[in-house]
Amino acid sequence: MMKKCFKYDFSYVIKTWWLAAVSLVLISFGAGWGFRNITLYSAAPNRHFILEYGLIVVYIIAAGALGILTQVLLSIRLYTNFYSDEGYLTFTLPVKRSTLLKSKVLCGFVFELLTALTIITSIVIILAMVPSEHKEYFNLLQETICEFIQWFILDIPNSEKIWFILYLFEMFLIGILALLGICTTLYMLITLGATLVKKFKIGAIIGFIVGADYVFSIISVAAGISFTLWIDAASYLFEDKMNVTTVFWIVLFMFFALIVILSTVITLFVNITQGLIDRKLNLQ
Amino acid sequence: MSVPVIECKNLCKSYKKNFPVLDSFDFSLEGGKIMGLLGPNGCGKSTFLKLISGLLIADSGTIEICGINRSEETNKLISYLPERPYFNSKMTVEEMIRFFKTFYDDFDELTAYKMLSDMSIDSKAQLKTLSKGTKEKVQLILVMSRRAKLFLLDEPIGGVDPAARDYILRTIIGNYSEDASVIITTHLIADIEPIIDNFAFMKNGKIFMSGVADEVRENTGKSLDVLFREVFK
Repeated sequence: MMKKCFKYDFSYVIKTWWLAAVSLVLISFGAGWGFRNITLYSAAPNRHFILEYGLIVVYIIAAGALGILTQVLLSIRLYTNFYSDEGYLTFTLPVKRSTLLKSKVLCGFVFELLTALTIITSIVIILAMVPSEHKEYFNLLQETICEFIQWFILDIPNSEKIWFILYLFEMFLIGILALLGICTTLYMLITLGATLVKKFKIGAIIGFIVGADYVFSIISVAAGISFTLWIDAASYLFEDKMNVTTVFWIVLFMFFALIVILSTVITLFVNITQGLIDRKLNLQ
Repeated sequence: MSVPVIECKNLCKSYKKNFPVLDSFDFSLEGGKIMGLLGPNGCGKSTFLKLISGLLIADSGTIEICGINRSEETNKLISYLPERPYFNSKMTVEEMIRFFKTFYDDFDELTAYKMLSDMSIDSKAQLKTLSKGTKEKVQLILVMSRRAKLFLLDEPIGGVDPAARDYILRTIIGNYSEDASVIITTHLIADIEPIIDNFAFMKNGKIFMSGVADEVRENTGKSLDVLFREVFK
């Protein structure tokens, strides 16, 4: 049943999403072509900067629009399928409510991932197409990767290289959990607005999302400050013991803690959403 | 002794504290019966159907469908028609048929297409392009094309023209199997009276009068419509 539910959720979102994704890729080709041929538009070097800046702004707006469109499409799908009149059909299907929600979460994760991959692909297209005299960003990326690889090969003791692979795996997991966290948070906020508020549900949902965004910003700043203070404190307290390996272990532990926190929060949000659907669903 | 298609005991449901919609509600229906569940607005008819179909969860009490406790599994045995359209309006009629076929093993695609053809409804039409009455017909066709044990029809003939009402009522009679049961809620008692076997009048969250429609007509000399008006004046 999960497969059947996912098929319908996916096909609903992909109908519109693919147009925006293809548009972004085409814009990235256009921006890359624009960077390559900027002298065609103006011979004056001081105008090149304005044109380049314009291309970058257009690209950033397009990439941001794809990100926002993904959230909007997922939100519309959840709201119409669960909390509008369509819910009369959805919740009378011979499918467990938990399965219906899991299908939405999986669909949300897939589209968050596709959006991230599309944006990364479009950036790579632009960087690959820029002319050699503008490759400073590409060169910076190349140098960073080379320094990173050098550090891994020369500075990390052989006995601990395996743990460094675990470090990379943690970063990968954090990325996956972050994408999952975005859609589960969105679904929880929509469910809160749709089930707890009797009138002006859409307004309530928007209010919850804006409020959550504000709270998240504060938590992010607080977490960033705490992380920096913690690193400084560790450096001070263990000054004589601080070396590359020690720093590595500290960051490994912190990423592990972040994975645990993200997993707990995602599980909590899913359970809250499920609980509200089970106890507070009231289709009018 | 056969198991009732539906049996509810001591069902309670309220939306607000101290304002129960259903209050210690008991109900039972054998197979092969069409029951008219009648009552004024707000007496709990739709709430009762929503509890059976799983849209709402009762505060207390039990619901059994063919002897099985109400769950997502029993939705396989129930075919529910709400009083409002519940389609994704961007889908076509054909896509909705495929949707029903995907999720319901007992859905009869041939019957659905035959009924669409009888009513001259284009299966390739997008649902949002159809009139209100046609949408209701499509919805009814999808519901009645299932081989369910229990059909729940919430105001199936409200909001459609008299000719369409006749067709809908004929469809209800003609398309449910003899061991299945149908519960219809409506205000248009005169229209459904000819087709119902049993009836129940609801008031204040309880059934206060019920029986076999023919027997009541014989004993009182009055139609259900007249009886309803007397009881609820």
